[in-house]
Amino acid sequence: MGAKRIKNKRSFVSGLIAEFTVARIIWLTNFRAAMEFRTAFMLQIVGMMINDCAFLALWILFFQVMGSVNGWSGTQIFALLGMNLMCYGFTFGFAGGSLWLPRYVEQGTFDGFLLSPRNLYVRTMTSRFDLAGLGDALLGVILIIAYAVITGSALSLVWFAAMLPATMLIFLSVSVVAGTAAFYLPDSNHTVMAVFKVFMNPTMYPSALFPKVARFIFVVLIPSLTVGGLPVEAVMGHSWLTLGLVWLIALLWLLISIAAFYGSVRRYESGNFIGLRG
Amino acid sequence: MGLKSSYLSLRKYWVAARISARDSSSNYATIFSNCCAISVTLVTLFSVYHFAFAARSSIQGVTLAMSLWSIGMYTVYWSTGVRNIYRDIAFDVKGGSVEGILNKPVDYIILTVCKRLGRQTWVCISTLTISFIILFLMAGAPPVDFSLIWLVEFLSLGFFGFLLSMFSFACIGITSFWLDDPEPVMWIFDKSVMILGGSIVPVVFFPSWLKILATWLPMGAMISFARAFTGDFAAEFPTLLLSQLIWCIVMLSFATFSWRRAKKILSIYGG
Repeated sequence: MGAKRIKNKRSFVSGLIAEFTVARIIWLTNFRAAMEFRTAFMLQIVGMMINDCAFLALWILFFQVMGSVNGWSGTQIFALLGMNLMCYGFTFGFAGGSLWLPRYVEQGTFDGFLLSPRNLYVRTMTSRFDLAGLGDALLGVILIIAYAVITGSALSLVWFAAMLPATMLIFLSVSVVAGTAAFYLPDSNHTVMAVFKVFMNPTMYPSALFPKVARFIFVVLIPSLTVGGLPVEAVMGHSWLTLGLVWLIALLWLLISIAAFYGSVRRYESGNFIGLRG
Repeated sequence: MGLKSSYLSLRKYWVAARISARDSSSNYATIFSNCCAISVTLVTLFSVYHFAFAARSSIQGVTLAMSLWSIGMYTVYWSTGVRNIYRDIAFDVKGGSVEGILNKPVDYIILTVCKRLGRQTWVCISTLTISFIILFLMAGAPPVDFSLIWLVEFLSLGFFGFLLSMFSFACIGITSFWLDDPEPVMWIFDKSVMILGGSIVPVVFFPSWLKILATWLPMGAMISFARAFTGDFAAEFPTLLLSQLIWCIVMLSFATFSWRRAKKILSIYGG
């Protein structure tokens, strides 16, 4: 019995390694393909970084006008945007397939993933490499380092690093859950993007400015604050409890997304689409 | 005869817009989810302002109601969906369907604009309704002395702002004939509109140098009707209108010129 358990554990770990080995090959292939169009590649990364700076400029302007609001000022915005951009960039940079799920289902190209011998969830999510995401992630890292320099706390970098995987899981899971609408609704691309915006928009706002009820809604039901405001609060107060809460919500949402994904896939009807996919 | 032919040539665009509107009306999920997205954004942003104004009645002479109504006007611009014109053009160019439409007796750009506006009709009506309900609930009645002159000034800035947005986003769409992907150009332009249009911080709070940019750059001029709720609007109106008119002419000329150039470099492969 014990030997069987060890065998199962090994097979799970080796299975996971195999999935990510395949994912790495897909990422590299997509990255090389993107590098073929160097001008577009650079334009996307630089363009996205400038695009993101707009939010930073807006919030700094806001706090210059309003002063410090409930303990938040321009400094915290560096951390908030940095954390948001890092988890958005890394998640959709490497697992952009979740945002493409509606298109896969609509166009019938989801058949290709079903026929793949790899894990369906991992294979679908890692199928897209979003170049603009790299611009986000790069600016995110710069902002987090800037926050550490401004506050003179190198330890905050460790705190952010400890929370980044959890926030990435939340981003991925929410996008997957939103994306599963494609299995139920026709022409769902705009709907899915709008649903994702409901989650995405409050991530950019300082968490301390939310009333208690709104805070509960945006931490547990729609975990927007869990990817932005809550990690910043955890770093500010070195709160292990908040760190644990972020991880707990992340794991919960991962389970929900896996259940929603496999539950929805059962409704998929093949479009008999014939095509080639890289 | 001339009038009749003009009517007939305009009628086809009207029909295209109507068909697009009817087509999009069946997509309840998109309409509903857009309403949810706009509600969450507005309630969140307005809550932040309620917090900021909690201990004071005004900041730099600007009240909470003035700020919220001014910010709310960005939603009006967003709801029209005029910014998506660039995406429609880029999609047709990348996908090659622009070749097919050019063979038809219609003006491609006008047709694309009409189809977009038609497609956006129900989303626009629903999001605007929700936005105004939220505005009235969280900000109260508009903080202005209503008069016919104020209304004419507000509507004229809204109308020319709409035209300016249309021409500007058409220009960005046309760049897809030269660029592999016009998305980065759009990102930068769109975020400039966000900053200079006062989407999070009303223009009245800007430092003077940024206020000048918001007045004289097309990104700010598009949404200058939002300034009707703050500051000395009557005095600012002539400058704001002049800026809009100048940019309308510049953008229309640029769009026409670049569209002519684009048609020349278009390669049709058939298939």
